[in-house]
Amino acid sequence: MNEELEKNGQGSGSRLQAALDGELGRLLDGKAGLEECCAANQELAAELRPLLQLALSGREALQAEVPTAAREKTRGKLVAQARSLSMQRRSSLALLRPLVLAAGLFVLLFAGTAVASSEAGPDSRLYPLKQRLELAHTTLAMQNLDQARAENSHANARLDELQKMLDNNRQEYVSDLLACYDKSISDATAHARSAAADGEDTAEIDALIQSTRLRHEEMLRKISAASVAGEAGPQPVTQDETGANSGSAQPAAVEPIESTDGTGAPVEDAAHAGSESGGDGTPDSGGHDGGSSHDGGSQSSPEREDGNSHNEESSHNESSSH
Amino acid sequence: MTEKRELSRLIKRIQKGDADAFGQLYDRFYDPVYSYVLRQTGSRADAEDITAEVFLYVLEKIDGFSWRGAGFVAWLFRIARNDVLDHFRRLGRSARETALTEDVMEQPSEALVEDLANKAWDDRELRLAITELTEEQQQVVLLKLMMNFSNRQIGEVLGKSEGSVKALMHRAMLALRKRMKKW
Repeated sequence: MNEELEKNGQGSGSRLQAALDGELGRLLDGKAGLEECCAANQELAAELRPLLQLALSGREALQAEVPTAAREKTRGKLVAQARSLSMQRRSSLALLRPLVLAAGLFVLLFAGTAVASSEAGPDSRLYPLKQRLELAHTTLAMQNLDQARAENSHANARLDELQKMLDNNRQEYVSDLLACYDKSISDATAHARSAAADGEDTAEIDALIQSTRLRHEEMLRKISAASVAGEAGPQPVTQDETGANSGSAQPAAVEPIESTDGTGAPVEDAAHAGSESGGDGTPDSGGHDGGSSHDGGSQSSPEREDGNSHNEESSHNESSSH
Repeated sequence: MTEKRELSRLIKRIQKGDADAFGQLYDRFYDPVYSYVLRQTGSRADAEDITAEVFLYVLEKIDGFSWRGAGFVAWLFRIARNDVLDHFRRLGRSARETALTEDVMEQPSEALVEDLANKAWDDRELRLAITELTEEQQQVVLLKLMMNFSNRQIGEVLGKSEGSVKALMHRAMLALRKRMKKW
């Protein structure tokens, strides 16, 4: 008997718990009133009613008046903090984007192709791809320093290509390459000046741009020297059985090219700077020297040039990360 | 648009860096979080500080939030609950017991004293009765009655099953009824 009573007690307790849970939800949601909830559980109504009434009273008793001043004061500070965090994240993302997207493009366009295109000169089928990659590189650089580095890197790439075209006796590309170099170095200078105006430390980029200009001047001197040597008259050229030139091949006469230093001012006439060409009049094909302070040394190799640009990006990211 | 979908969109905007969206989230949830914290600490000053901490934490961590289980609201109140627990841990156990009754023990207004049958007095008695529940029972009562949380949401906040939440609510209401003799 006692066990039965106990069991019934437990049973009615469980039923009350279930009824309370179900009706409390309807009551607090406003889907049913107190009487309706009790009517739906008539045999438990006597026990259920006071509990539901207590729940309604408890809800009212627990409501608190919220002080407006404190709410607004905290709101202002937190929203300002949200804005600050958002700006920090955007600038961190901007620093990473050139790397991320360059890496993405690299993968998408197949590693082999991208590597091949980095070596491509204007006479190569891959040259348009190289130009697109450089454009993406510049476009994604969000800050002036990044853009200055990107443009300086491209200016050096033009000089590499120029050297290659000269080595391969492809004079038809020289003018365009020099024009492209002028634009890149001019843009690099402009971005560096903007960065300086923003209070950024531009010592490094200024040195890099100056090195690029010195290299450019060196190349102009060689081109001019070659041009002068060409005007002195053709040198004997030997031919092998295939008819190809060999031995000390002479480039076609190169007209002296006037160029600017990126600021619009013409550089000193390279011809008056003296010739540093070899005894046979051919321009030096090796990497330049003469005080270049590139972080990677000679820039004549496309691989090293690309490596340097990545390193520049990496070091910038490392030094600028928040 | 359902409320949940609207909230989901708001959170995505915040995760993308929309500071105004965070302001909207704050406007929507400040009062319930403040009330929840106040009913545990009994101090308006502490409730303001802790509520501000809750939203600062949400701002810092919302990037990592992903919608699963009971969702954002449960996550928010879990943060609030943990902050309240940390608050009492710093103050010491006795401080909690004092704080819980501080609100109900504040000096009543003259009007209140004159009219002991005033509902406000009944409310104070009921709040006092709630403070005498076990900590888990209190949490279930606060989240159910103040926030109208589902059992699942309460379970997410407290780390309990829905069945346990139902049982806790039942026991809490029986205990309150026993305490409030007039019922």
